[in-house]
Amino acid sequence: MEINRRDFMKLIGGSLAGLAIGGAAGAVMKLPKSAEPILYSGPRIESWKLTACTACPGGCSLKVRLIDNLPIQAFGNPLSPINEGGICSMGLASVARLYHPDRLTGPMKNVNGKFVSISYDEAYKILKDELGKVIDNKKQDDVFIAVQTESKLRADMFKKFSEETGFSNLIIENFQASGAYPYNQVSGEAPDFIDFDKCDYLLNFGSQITEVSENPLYYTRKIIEHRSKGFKHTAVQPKLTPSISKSDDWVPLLPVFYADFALGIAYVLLKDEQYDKAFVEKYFTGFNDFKQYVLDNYFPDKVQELTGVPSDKILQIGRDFEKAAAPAAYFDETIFYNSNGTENALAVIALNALKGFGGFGKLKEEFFSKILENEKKKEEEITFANLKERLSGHKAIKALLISGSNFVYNSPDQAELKKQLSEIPLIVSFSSFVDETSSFAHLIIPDHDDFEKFDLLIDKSMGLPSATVLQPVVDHYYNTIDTSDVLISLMKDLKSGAKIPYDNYNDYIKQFANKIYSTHEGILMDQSKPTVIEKGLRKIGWQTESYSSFDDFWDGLLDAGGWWNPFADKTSYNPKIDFKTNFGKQNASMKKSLASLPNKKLRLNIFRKNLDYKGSMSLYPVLVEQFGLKWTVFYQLWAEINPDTASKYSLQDRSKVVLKTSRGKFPVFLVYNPSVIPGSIDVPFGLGHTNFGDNCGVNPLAYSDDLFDKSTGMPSFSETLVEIDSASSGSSAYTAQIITDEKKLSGTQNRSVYA
Amino acid sequence: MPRYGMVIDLDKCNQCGACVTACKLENNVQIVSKENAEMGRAMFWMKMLDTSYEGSYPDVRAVNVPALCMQCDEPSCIKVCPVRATFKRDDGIVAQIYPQCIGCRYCMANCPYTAKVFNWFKDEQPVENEKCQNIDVSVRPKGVVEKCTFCIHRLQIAKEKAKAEKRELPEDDYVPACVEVCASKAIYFGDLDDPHSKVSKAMHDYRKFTLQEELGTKPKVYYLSAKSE
Amino acid sequence: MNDHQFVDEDEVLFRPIYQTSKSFYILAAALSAVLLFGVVMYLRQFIFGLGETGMNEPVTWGFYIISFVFFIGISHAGTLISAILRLSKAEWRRPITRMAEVITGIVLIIGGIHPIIDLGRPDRIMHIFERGRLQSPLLWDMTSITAYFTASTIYLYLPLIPDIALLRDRGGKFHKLYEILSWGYQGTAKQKHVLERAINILMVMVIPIAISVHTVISWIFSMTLQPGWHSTIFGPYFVVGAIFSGIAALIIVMIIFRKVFHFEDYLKKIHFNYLGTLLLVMSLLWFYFTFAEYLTTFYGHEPSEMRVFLYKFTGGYAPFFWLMVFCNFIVPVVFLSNKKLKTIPGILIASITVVIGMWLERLIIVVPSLANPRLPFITGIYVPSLTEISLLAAATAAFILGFMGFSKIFPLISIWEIKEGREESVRMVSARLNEYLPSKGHIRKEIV
Repeated sequence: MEINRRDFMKLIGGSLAGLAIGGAAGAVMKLPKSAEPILYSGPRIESWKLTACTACPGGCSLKVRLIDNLPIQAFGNPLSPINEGGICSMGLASVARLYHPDRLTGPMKNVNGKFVSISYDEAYKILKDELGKVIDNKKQDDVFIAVQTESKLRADMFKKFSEETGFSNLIIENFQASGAYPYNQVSGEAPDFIDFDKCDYLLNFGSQITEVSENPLYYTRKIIEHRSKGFKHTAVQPKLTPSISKSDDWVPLLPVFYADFALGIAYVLLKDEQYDKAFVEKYFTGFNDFKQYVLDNYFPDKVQELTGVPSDKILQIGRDFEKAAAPAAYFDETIFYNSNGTENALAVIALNALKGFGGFGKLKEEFFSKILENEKKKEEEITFANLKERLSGHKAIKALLISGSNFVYNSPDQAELKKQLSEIPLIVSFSSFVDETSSFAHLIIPDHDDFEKFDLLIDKSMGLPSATVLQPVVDHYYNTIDTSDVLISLMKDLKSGAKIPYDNYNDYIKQFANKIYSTHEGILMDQSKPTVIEKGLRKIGWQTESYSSFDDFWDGLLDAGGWWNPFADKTSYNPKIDFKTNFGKQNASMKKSLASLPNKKLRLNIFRKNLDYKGSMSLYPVLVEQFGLKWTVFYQLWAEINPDTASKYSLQDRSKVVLKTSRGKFPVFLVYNPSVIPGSIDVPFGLGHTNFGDNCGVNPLAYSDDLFDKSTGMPSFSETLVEIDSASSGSSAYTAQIITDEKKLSGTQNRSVYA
Repeated sequence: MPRYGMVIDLDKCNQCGACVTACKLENNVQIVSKENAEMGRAMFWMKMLDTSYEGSYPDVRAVNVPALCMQCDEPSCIKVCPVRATFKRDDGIVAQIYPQCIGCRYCMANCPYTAKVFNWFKDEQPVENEKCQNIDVSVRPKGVVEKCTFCIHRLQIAKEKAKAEKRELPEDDYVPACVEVCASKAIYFGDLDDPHSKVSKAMHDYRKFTLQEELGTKPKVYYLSAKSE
Repeated sequence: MNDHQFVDEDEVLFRPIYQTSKSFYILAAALSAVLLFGVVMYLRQFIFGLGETGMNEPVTWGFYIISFVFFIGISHAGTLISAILRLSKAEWRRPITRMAEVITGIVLIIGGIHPIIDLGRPDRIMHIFERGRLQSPLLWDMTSITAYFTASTIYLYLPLIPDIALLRDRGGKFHKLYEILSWGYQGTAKQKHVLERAINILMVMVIPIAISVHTVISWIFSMTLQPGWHSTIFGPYFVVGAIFSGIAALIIVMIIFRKVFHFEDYLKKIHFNYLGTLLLVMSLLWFYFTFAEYLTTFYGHEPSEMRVFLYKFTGGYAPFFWLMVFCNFIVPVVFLSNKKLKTIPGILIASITVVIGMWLERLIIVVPSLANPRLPFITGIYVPSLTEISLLAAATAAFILGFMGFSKIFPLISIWEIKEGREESVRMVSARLNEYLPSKGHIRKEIV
């Protein structure tokens, strides 16, 4: 067949066109490359493993779904008494952390500003040699160890390390320990839990109790359960957070005024003489001075003047508090996010003392204190305050070990802090990522991911001892090593003759579990909750199950995901309180300037969302996307302002505004929110990382004044004043109006969800 | 045939947003790029309706309603689809057939609950989410409409399991992801026609209402709220 | 075969086919470039996805649907002038009908392609044919547009046959084409009769089809539950709006070609006067429907409807809304009811503003209802992207190019009808007039 040129060109053209169309059609049908793992053809065998979540202090038990032995999803463990199958967004998203591209694959050394991979032996040698030198020179006081962990056992390991090596400057940031700290200060012991069986009134000072707290999912369930039985929950917070949806009343109050408010309530109790006189006589030293002081200085009108809360509200809450049989005025670590946090906490403790700490409870047997080696000792080293003092005083620090803490991000004085950190000769970080703090490290020995390590998370907040198992769902991918194992090796190498009866952290956990086993108490978490009959039987001595040996128990423990003792006896919390404090003298000028705002200034109130705890949300793209979903704001920092305040400064809804503090300017996207305290501007915390996860947004804490609670060193979140630098009218994209109806609160029959 | 429905107790809901995240992760709903999110193309099958507030300061309360496809009994979206890519199954779930959809978005225009989302682009997902995708759910190509399906893949798996084990499908075997993860157990799910199911019992509540019942779409997602909002 | 041999008295009507000026080629090149750019942008959209447009949630329909409704609306020019005027035996229609029918033909193609451009998966277009659901307004839409397109193409072709015969007889270029298309028409009495019958049948058929087209398009919106769309008035409203925009487009086309091809003798001032009056009437009718629609919405004061209403009247879309009212009502009424302003340039200005105003009206109908969903979502915003704007420009360019192409092959004014009008109209009209008027006297019956 003859093909002449024209036909040939037609053929070529036709086939090219065909290819183009096919290519285009292929382009249409193409799925993104990221979908390929789903399409892969392994045998796709599904398996489940139980572990625990470490995203927040709650320590919920997780049920991880693995396909071909790779974890892909996490759900709540339905049989765990802590969360009963529930899980929060942070836990759901945390599986992605295993596969994060920024995860360090092995020990890194900082060589001229860049991180270079080195072997573990090399890294360990450097660490051992440097620390050895310090010990030889007897300069152990110049070494700081900063740890943030929610695991008591891990904290215990660090305490042992500090004790053995003599590096006594140990800072352990632990949520539950922070909450217990002021109690320990005044009485030497802290309550273990809120006793929901007895408590009928919860006055919550600043805790986002159902979002991020000691045990958020448990508290949510309990509050819901007990509300129908006459339990009341009043929240005193600077912001209308989702926790307040589970409360009956909200008192908008800035944290700086918590002490004044608490003492105002105390005034009502004292004046009405409705306080627990028996308790006070027996346990409250210095009560009479306290009573006189409060009666002289905290009558409701004066408190109204100081804090802005109307005096009839104070009276009403005070009367509720005194009428309650077992009220609890509750606070947790969040109370320290203010420069007079300790004072606030002490005032709340005093208020509790007036009603005999009725709503709190303690375990009858100090179960875990029996078996934790260092539970009681060294509670006071939980503060960053002394680290900051050392750094700001430019007193030489020889070495700084950091584990689990990104304190550079969580601090206001970032520029100064960064400068001071760069002067420390040896910084060793155990972080899995190069975040704001570990970027200053000379040596990084990355820890296992939380899905790759062993631990036991012990908890008392449910009113009974429980230990949730954290176990590896996969073998560790990279050349990482459990930090506790490094510590154990260091202890053995640095201190000759150290009595360390375990080789690695696994052994330590096993020994601890053995101690639990040998008490022959409690049950594993793979059974449903025991009934009253079972509890009764247990009391008289009947056992419901037994194990032939410890190994049997251990296997059962790993299968079940945890252990708990629902038969533990509770008792009331009766501490001896010794109060010698001067309330009201602290922070007088700050209170004044926050109450009556100077010209054109607004209060910057930084708040935390439940998607973020300690600023690690940026690692998870799913959470970053949802961060501002409530206001339909994506990937930028927004600020919420009361419409009345906004109209005073002629700021428009959904407009771009630049805020100015003493540290600089930063842009925000302004939205109207009628629940914001007038005169405040609320900005969320969690965005604005510089080299960790998603880099969108701004870190508002970096623009705050360097104020912190003097005894714990926690930064203040709501005491900076800002002014509006410039405002634009209307935003560029997604202009909108939210229609608010101010009259809907008292029921009408209008059923359409249109508020 | 069961008729699957859902009851969401707003008085129990603590607005944590776990249902939103769970739905997204379970169904491989894509995370759109930043520019697209700004433009309003963020894809959420289950979303918290925009926060609105009632009352005036300081007696303010936030109204947060988790909203998903209402799986109506008289859906307005299926009426207008030109190719039957969305239709109501016998068990009450309004299904979306991705290979059938031509992307005309008429169903989206007709949904009074704005429940459907569209795949405007198909962006590459972040590397760390790649490995966490759920193998049970297909990834939609671009140009098709998608929406909440009451995690119908879980129903299929549960049915297959029940069949293989030669037993009936018990109530608790099939729950959508949002129901499973809710910490306050605020979402009930099950067969509305079965008087003994949990969801039917939850329906016998004076606080019950549906969104926009005046439109006659007969949504099968009911809400319980003591406040009349 | 030499085209200079024939010098017809209507030579000027034949001239555009045989002579092409340089500016024609330049304009054709420029428009082709715009069209090509639009095609390239569309291919980008095809490959990357509909995200190339500015649509989002909740505004899921944008420029494409707006242009779809707009272009199909303009197609009503053909029906009104051609069919209705022919039906009512109005003599002044003669030079206008061809251009009207051509507008319909071209614009239906352009408008009919727009929903395909709007689809997320245009590669699955066959699903509509294989598995279409007749319960869906989109299917009714497809059916009626196809029917209308078929009917109007035939209705364009049938009166074209005698002109093609004339062209064939002249010889010259496209001779083969004319021979095929003229079907051997010789102008015999029998053929003429058959042709007249066919045109009459079609002319009656086309009117209900045309009205159904735009009614069905309006039902795409009014069959939904969205506030601002779910209104019974949409059917007649859209038809009126379509006829309105159709007349305006027709006037613009007429004025332009009159200037370019020197048709002043055929398209006289009186044609424009009549069309201008029609435009004025449609403007008032349009205003009546708009006013009725918004008054009932405002009076009922239902919350979701009011949200859309306020968005149009005082909210983000207020500039477009009031511009639309200005373009559709104020300018035509001012220009067309005032004798001094009702000149050809004045009518041209009024028509251009009407075309712009009607496009804005489609915008006002589509976007605000979508941007203000019933549930308390924030108002969506829609910013058209380069792809959408370039496709709108490409559609306009295609329209003009289509006309230019047509003018090179077929005469733009119906030559045989002009001739028929010259020769026979006077007689026919006098006969008709005598039928209307009372006879002269009671005794004598005169047959004229």
